Amino acid sequence: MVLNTFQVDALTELINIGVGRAAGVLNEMLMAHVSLQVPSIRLITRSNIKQELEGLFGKSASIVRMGFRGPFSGIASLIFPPDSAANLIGLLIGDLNMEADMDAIKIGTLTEVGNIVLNGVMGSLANILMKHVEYSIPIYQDSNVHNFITPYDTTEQPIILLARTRFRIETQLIEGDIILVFEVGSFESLISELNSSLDITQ
Amino acid sequence: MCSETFKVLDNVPMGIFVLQDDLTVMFWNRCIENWTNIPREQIVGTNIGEHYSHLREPRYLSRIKPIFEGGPPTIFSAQLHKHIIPSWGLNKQLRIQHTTVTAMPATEGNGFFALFVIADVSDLTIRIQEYKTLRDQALEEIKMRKEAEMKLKEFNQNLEAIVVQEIEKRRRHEELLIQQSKMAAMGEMIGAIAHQWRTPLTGLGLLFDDIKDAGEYGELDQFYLNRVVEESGQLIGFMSKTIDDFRNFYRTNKEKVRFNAKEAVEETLSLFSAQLKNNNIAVQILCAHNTNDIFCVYGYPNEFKQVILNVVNNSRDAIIERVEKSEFSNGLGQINIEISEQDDRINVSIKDNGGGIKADILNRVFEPYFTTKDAQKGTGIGLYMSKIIIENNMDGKLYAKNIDDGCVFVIELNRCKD
Repeated sequence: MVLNTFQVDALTELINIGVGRAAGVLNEMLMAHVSLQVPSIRLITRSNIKQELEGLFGKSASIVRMGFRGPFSGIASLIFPPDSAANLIGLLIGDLNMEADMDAIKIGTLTEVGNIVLNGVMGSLANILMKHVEYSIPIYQDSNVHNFITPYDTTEQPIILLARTRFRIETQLIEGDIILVFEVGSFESLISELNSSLDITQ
Repeated sequence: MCSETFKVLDNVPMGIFVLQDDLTVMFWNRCIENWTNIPREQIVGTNIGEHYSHLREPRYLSRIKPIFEGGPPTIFSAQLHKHIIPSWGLNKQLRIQHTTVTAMPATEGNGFFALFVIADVSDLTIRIQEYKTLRDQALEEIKMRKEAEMKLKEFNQNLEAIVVQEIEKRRRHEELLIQQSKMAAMGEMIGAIAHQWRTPLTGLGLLFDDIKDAGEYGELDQFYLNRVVEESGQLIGFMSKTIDDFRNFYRTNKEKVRFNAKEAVEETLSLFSAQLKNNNIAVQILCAHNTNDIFCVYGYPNEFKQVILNVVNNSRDAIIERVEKSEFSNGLGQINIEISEQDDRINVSIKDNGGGIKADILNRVFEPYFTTKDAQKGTGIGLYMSKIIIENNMDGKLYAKNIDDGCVFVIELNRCKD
């Protein structure tokens, strides 16, 4: 599936809105200046999914994932390299000497951050549809990203929407990726809804 | 209404409550009732903000509000929101809580309720904290150990340098001692040669007087000259041999050789007997065996002879001192050298009647520079060098002990078996 410029702009805008909302929530909650930016979005399609994923996520990562089901279905994930995850938690709780290993409490913290970011993005997407989407409870996992995405689709490769995010808390920069993996047909539904809601024609 | 719908949640061991969009409490399960001591009947139908005002704050409200519109679940993690519904645990501490809020369709089909599910993670948090404390302690210990190891390593490196310095110092010191020992030996040699030369020199003097007289009386014929030349030659030859003997005596052996200890003792005494005799000291070699072969040892013969000489000289000096102090009853000094063999050992015991060594310094006589003699007589290195020669170079033993009226120095050496 190929998106035209307007569609890409619209999607970028929606995700930007969601991420901006998430940043607002984090600011409010942590009483520290948190900025979230989405420089660009990328669509990884069926044909090039394998090599793209291998190039992007060869190593293990800390992942917060939340399933969604409704007019469009799939899994939304926020992915951090392990060091970035530890740094983020360290910044959130004011302990910069945080070790890289995760324990249940740290996992809970990271899950909450993932929850805030993913809720922002998913809320933003769902709002344009004006339809109810069901969500699963966010969960955390340490995994190889490639292993995490591919078993999801057994028949056909899904479409993946990738948004590289940068968290900036005070002066620290933390990188993470928001990945939306859409079930077959779901992404088309989303784009179709997007077209009609925003009056974009292909 | 709510009691019936949510009743099943009473069986869940987690704190659960349900709010409607105006924050009115719809349900309050048994678990949270126990935690808070607020009965369901009292709280249901009231606004949660009346009981827990922080839930009205924007930082909570902004995340709870979307739930009422069917938005995604919200998580309040234990680290960032420790006590969402503050309640005291059994350990008298506030429960640490991890809360998940999900949307559930309202019973009338209008909008959504917010279902709060609170897990008590106090134990888990405490355990993790304890584990972290233990781990931090272990890491600190490892760090300290590493630092200690580094310091030890540094110290060892320094120690190595100190040891090397000390060894070098000791080596120089020993070199100095050897040099002093050589000088002392040279002095001894000159003294001994002087003793040995006295008789032939007197002989030569007499011969010259005789030549002079013979000249005056016209007896200076060829026969006379031949006789005088022959006699002079003998005397000069004796003097020359004396020098050779002493030079051989003081020459350092480079390699270990097999030699006869008894013969070495005899040779030493033959060189120095004149001096001893001159001091009225009788020397006697006592040996039960007629055959000399059984006294073969392996080592440095000249060094061994020097040891014998050093010990004998010590005895001599002790006897002379005693004579000078008029301590002798019979006035005769006596040195007995007894040579014996036992199993694989050869013992050379040098006994004297010089009065012995005071008990408090008996252990110190082998120390370098330790001497009881006048500065002109003793350097304090003779016995020290002797001990090094016997114990370090020839694998033997040298020790001293007091006996009646004197002392004995014992040299033990390994005997050559064939």
